[in-house]
Amino acid sequence: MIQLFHVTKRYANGIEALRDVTLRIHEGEFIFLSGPSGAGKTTFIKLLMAIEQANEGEILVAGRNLSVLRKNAIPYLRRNIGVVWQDFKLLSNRNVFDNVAIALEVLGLPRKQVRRRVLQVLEMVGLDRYAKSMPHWLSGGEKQRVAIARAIVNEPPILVADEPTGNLDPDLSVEIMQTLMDIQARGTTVVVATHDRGLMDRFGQRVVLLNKGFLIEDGSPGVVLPGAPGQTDGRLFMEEGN
Amino acid sequence: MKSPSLMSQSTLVAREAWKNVRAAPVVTLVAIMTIAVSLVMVGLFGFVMINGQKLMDSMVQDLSVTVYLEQGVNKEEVEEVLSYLKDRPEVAKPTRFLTAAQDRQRNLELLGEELARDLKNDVPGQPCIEFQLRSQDLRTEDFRNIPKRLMEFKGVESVQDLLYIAEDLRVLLALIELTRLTGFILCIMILAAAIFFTFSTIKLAVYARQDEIEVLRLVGATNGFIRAPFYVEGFVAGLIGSILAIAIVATISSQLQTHLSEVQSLNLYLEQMPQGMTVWLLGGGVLLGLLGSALSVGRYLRS
Repeated sequence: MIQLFHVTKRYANGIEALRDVTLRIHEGEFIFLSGPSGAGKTTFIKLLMAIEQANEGEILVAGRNLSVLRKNAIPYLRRNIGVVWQDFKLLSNRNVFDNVAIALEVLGLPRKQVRRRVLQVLEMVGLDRYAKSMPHWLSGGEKQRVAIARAIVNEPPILVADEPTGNLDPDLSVEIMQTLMDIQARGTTVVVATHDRGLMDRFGQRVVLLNKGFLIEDGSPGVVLPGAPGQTDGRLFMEEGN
Repeated sequence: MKSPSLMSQSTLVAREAWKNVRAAPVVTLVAIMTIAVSLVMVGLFGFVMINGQKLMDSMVQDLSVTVYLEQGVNKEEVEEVLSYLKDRPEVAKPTRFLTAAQDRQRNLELLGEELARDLKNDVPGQPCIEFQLRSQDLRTEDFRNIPKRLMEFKGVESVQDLLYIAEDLRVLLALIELTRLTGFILCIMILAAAIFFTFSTIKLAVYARQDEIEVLRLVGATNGFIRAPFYVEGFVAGLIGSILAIAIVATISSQLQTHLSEVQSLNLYLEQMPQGMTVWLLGGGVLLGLLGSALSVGRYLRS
């Protein structure tokens, strides 16, 4: 579903955010993309979404080679990737229903079909009674669930979440992560960028560890993340507080 | 999932455009006013030009020349004069040849029924050729030589002209030409400023919606989808702006007509808004709105 071959991303200021990364994520898989700040997690997501372009290497996403993808084909790539951001990116002037509906409206679906599907997804994430609420009336967890609903409403084969629990308390984080696991159980490939070791240990899925742009580990949390479960690894995550 | 229909797409675009307007009504209002004010200036200039030209044309109608021919003039001699006139660029086509009988008939008609009955046998008729000079050819003085040259033709008895007013007309023509040129340059400047202001106002609307545009791009909206509501907004602003402008120009021209008609000595009837001008203003307004939208959204999406 997602393949990277010797991918390097270098920004205009000379900083290499990803260096020679090779990785394969299978269809329906759930992976945690982890590492300290500046490890290259967000750049990884931006490359998948074609927000940025790799300087070297090849990226294949949902059957498309991004290095030869034309600019006008980018929207069609993005329709295959639902995305959830740490800051939710909800539109404050639209209610919950309209925030979710936007992902279907761009496909030009009839209003009736949009309505049916949005209500179905809101029910799935437990927000059906908040359809008419404005985003600023909701808690952080609820906002993130709206963002998840928007990301999956068009049934994309891939869901990418960049620090989806970054602004949430531990209980809500587990709740959100469980929702993402449920989505994966329906066959969606899920990539979650996080540095929350507790969550990785708890959910026990494959972890891809990045540091300073390099892919340094790839495996189960017990193998990839040294130290006792539930503790943050001192060496790798020491930059988090900076 | 069902494929999108044109109807649902159009409804969605219209709804999004309406949301834009509702979110920033002042911006839309400023765009409408910018377009309206620009078109009023252009429209008033057009109004002045149309009536200036009309005034000129009506005055040039007096600039007619009648060539009286001898009673016994033959066909060849007439043809020779007509052929000369045909080659003169200053002469408006068609020239009119009247036989003695036709000239008499015309004189009878001009006299009115009663007088004509009284003078029936005394009304004269003489073969003649009538023509008018073209206003645009008054720039050169060549036309002055025409009566003199005509007198040299065999069969020509006399030439009656009103060329003494030509000098005044030439000054008027020069003034109209100058106004036309100045106005044309001014119109270009006004329209360029209007495009710039519309562009700037719609750019404000685009920036006000940048969060929304970012989300739309992330969920896979095409540039066309993002642009469409702004185009609709530009179209509607242009349409309303031009309708306003047409109403203002029509009111001003009608008021002017009322006031000028009270001045008897002017004997001037102003042309009201011609249909062609209405269409031009309407099209111009819509084009201004669309162009302003296209430039501002296009620039934002490229950045």
